[in-house]
Amino acid sequence: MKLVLAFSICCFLMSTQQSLLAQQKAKQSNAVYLDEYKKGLWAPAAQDTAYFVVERKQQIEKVLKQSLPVQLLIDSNEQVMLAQQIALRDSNFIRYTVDKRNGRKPLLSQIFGVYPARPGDLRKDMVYLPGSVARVEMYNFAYNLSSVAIVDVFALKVLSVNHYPQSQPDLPAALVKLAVQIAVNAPEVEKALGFKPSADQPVMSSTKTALNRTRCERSQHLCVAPTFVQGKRALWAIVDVTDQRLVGLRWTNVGEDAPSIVVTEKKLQNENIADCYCEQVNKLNRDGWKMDYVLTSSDGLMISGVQFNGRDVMHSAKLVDWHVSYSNTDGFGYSDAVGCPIFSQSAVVATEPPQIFELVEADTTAGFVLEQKYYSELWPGPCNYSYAQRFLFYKDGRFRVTCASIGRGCGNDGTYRPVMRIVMAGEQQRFSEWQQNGWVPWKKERWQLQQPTTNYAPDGSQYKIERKDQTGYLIEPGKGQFGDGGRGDKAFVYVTKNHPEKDEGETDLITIGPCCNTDFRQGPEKFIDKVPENIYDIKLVIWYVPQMKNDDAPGKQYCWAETYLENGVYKVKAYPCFAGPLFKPIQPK
Amino acid sequence: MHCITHHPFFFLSGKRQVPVYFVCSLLIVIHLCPIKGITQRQYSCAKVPLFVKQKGFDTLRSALSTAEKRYMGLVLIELAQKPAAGEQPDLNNERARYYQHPSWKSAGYLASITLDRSGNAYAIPAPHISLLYNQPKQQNKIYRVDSKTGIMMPWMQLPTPKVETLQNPYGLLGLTYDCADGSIFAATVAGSTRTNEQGVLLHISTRDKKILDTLKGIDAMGLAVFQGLKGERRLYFGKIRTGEIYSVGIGANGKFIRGSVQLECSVSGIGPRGDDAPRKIRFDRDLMIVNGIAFNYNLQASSEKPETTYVYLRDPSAKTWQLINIQ
Repeated sequence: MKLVLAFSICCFLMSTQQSLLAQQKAKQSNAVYLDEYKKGLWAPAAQDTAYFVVERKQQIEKVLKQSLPVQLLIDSNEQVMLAQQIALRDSNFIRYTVDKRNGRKPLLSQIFGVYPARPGDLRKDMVYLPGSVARVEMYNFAYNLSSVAIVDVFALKVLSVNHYPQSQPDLPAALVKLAVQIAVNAPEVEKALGFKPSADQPVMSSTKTALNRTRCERSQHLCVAPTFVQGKRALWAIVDVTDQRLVGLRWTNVGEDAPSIVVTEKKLQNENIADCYCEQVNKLNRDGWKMDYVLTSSDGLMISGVQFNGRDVMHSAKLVDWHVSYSNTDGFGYSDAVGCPIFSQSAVVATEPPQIFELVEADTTAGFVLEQKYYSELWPGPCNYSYAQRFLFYKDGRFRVTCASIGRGCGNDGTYRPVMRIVMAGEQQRFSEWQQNGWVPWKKERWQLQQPTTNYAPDGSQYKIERKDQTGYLIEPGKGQFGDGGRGDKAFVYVTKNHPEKDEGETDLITIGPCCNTDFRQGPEKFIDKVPENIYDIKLVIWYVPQMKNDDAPGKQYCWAETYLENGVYKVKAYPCFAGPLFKPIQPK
Repeated sequence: MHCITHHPFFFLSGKRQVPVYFVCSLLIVIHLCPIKGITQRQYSCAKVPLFVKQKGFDTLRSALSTAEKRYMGLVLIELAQKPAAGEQPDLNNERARYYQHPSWKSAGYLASITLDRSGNAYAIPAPHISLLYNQPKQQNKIYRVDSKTGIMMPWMQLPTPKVETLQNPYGLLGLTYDCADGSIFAATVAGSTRTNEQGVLLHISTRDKKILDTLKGIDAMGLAVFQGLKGERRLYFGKIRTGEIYSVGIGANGKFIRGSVQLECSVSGIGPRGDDAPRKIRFDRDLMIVNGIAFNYNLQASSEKPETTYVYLRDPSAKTWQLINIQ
């Protein structure tokens, strides 16, 4: 966990320090986003052992076992308790407390407040005695929905019920306390403030309330922001009450002349990623590997200047396009670009920072992984997309460039064709293909499709790229052998002459191919001249375009995602389809 | 009303999470009659293009759309059902038929459309998910569809920024026709970056394509002309970055009146998202109706961009707008 957090907050902490140092650098982020730590893609989140979180989880567990999964607001006022009981007898008021599509599984709801009815709550046709009408507010954590019942406690009946999607009532005191506890106990808050705050410190001097309103637009969770005022600045700590975790931090200016801004999950994520990963090249040095990485406008996460044990390995690698076509409908699909979340040419954007984690194989740490995920806002809803990029680096000098679709798309007949661009280090390069009798060099620009009849070298490689001094890499495509769920790449491989002067992808490429070509016309063929150029002993570009067909059949899901219920709220189960080649250093003879 | 959209431009109502590609970006060209306002002389002079009838489409239930499923560019649609007498057609209804002139997809995906008093349509391009059919250099061009022939041609190339930016794939984002003098107002964000708001509001004569005036340093999307009882005109524009709606006076000579820019209202911090940009502004008697969407200068599919309608009521004595409804 330390690794990920250190990674995510580095930009922010630098900015805090910088402000103390008279802000010598102009471009620093005021925002930090804390990714929910998971050991790998879509693994369950780590369990929080803080007592207040454990208590809350136990409460939830208890509520979900009740016949009506609604947590009551406990109050000494009998009228408050009575109003809740009347409201909960109304079938319309409780209509969203179970998932009717899913075996009537319980969805977590909680009564947040019971108040005297407001004038606007009462219709002219309602008959009631003055002072006998209460407003009961209930929040549904699964649907992010508020239900409001107007109740006549004298007549013991419900006068009206309304449901408000994507809205949250004022929090009850118990949840305010929980949010504050999460914030004041977060080490990130302590680091940002320079001291550990007490539970009565997050109070806005202007409003006298402990919490600022905020939104978690992407997760659609209940979020609030305990805010700590320090002189002319305020630190917003966004807390996700649904998941009981700190989402992130953001400094704002306060005072009459300060612009009034609302800090939300999405703003915080966007600012943090733009500041720290789109406008800043980051360096990585681990297990003998050194490289730079940056999020591009439309070519995903790009790594460059890759070295292993001081030797140049790769000039750059990135993900240019995702082509998605649907076989049941001719010409229907999309060309998606992935990259920065704001001010970019991306259709599916990074909402979380890149992650670096251990690469574990057979219980040993074999190296590390650099991973970037991208999301549509409403994923995994139908016709929304998520993608991932993973660069795997082994301690023995091997590396793998991969990407995955994580569903869900517009149908179960989709084929994904990502376009990867890989440029190896070295000026005089030779590219060869394994045939039955050994390695056969490619002398001219061309492409080839990996097929069932493809020949592989005894070690499983299909291609080899080497420099004139005969150092280089064997290239092994995916055939379902990598243990990451991949079922084989069926990849088109193109090799073209590198033309930095023409800019054939050295900088950000706009979309290079349409959605729906099912053959080699995926875009890179544009860089093969009518009379193909010589590619022997010159600098090359390798374009790797795997093909992954999705599947939603139970037990066989692939390039797919679906929701399931956990603790009364919806979570995502994902079935990524990873593809991409493994590069193995050629052993010196 | 939450709306499903592809482009951040003309939209219709719909339900959340319907398939992405069901888009409704329509400009109704029917029932365009002068409306007598109380506080403003508001009317629309737009005419139905002549080609609509020529193609045999029923003008009472036809519309021009830039966001039909599986159509790129402009499409003429006819709804299956006739609207009840005195009612506007429901643009979510089933389409009976489509017509697309070959020239209507020559500019790639399109966004806003506006009609003039002769039935000519003006349209602006905007990329849809990718830049494959909308090259960045072509996004600052206004197109015109001739009322008689139905042929779409480039009408005017607006100045493009000297330095291209990878940060912002958009050019023109707003367009509206001013019936008072037959001119067009356009808003472009070409060249704007995260740290540099480079957008321009332009006032263009349709007679000689002369740029009458510009207002620089403003990234705007929704545009509408408000005409007061005494004939005074103000251009309302929705600022993308702040969600604020400003207005600026328009002089008799077509110039923006310097020093007359004023804040009218803001959709920032309200609505289900809180960070909406005013995509579309229109006036209906004493009401100002603003359609807002989240807009982050990227190509995220607009199926992910539910739309919210903000309704403001004009207080004629205070000359202010009061928010009365969010749908």
